[in-house]
Amino acid sequence: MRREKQAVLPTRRRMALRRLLRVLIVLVLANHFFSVGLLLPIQAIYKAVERGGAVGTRVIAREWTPELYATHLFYLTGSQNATVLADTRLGILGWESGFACTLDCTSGAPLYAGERYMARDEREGQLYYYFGRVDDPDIAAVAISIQAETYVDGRPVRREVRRLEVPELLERRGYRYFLLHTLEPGWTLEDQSRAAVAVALDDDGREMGAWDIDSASYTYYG
Amino acid sequence: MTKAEYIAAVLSALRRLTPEERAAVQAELDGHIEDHMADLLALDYPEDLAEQRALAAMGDPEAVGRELEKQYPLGWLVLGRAAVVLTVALSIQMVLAVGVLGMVLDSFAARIYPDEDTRLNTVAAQERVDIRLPVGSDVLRIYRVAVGQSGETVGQWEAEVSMCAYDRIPGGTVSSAIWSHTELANPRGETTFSGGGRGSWWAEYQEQYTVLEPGDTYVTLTYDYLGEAHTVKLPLPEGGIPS
Repeated sequence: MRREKQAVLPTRRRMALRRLLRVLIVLVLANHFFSVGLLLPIQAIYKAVERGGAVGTRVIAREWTPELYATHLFYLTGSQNATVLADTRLGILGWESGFACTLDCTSGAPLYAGERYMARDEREGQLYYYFGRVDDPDIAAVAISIQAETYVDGRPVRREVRRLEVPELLERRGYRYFLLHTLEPGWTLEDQSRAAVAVALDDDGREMGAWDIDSASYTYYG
Repeated sequence: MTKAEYIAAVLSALRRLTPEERAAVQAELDGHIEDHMADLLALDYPEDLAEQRALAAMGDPEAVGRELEKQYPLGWLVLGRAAVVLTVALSIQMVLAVGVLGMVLDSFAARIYPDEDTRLNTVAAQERVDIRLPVGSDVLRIYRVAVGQSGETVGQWEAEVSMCAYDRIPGGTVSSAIWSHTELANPRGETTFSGGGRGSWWAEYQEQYTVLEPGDTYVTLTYDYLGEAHTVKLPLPEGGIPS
């Protein structure tokens, strides 16, 4: 007597494709609606950039900065209208979006600059990031002047306590950008406030102008 | 060699099969041999001889095993299992992040029927509106204009404009920078008050205020950020400021 036809086991290829389809659906759900399970750092970066309000930015530069977290990545992204510094790090929920510091580059200024500084509980020092875009073609280099401000006879008086040279301007898609980071000990001049100033330099190293960095954000990781 | 020994010899050559696949191969071989034997038995072959002939027709068990193993490529097995591991990991992550579901639903509420409580103590008039402005990758929605008084400015009439913002793609990330670049002004261009609200990565809500004077009939909302600018003139609701 002939046997009854048995149920056919799906091939490995078919089973794998079915499982891949399932994981793809779960991945979209997790990534888009829950903002978890981001497999690539750039996904978390673009979520942070979107949270900061910018759209259509492209990656200019990226840095791995393990001073606060072993997997801490910083991305400088830019578009015609915005320059954004955003960060991400790997956690148990995948790549987690950090904070985006957005510069509005539509005012026609010769230089746009931003500052982001961070500290972490039980870690020495603070991590400072300086970034921006240079739109004036006469500006050949940029430096960051860290200044201490005090008041003398009711008027603010500043003195430079440190100068950070930007090693090079990054030319991408017709714009020039800069990105610089430094780990500094805490601000010890408690009676004086700290100010960061972006200094534009010409080909001969002469100062062409200086602008207070107003776009700043601070994050403390507990 | 018996049928059982033949099948065992074939299976011993299959090293990278899952238990389910091994069982399927065993059933398949068993079926083939049984079918062949049934044909021979129908021709009045004795059972022993039918089994020997059927096994001989199957061929060398090791060679059969090697050929069968080619039908089970390792790459697809690894890929399939990796997909299962990733599905489980993602599902666990979603369970851990289940708290955000309320915020995701909030973003749907923002696009369907946003309805935050007014912060005005006394409401003289209010009107629901539905004005949606595309802002970056988001939508800024104005859904209510009200006139009233708050506890902070006794005797002073104010306009309250209630707004929300959400990503154009349902469930997407909304900008937190919208409100800091949105300004509400009275007809004299005064932007006396800022506002208050709440928000998450999925939806932002805010009410903004400006002082009114008798005779004012509208307020103006402006947005200007990253090269995008909008100006919306909002008529005050019927009834306006009580005389």
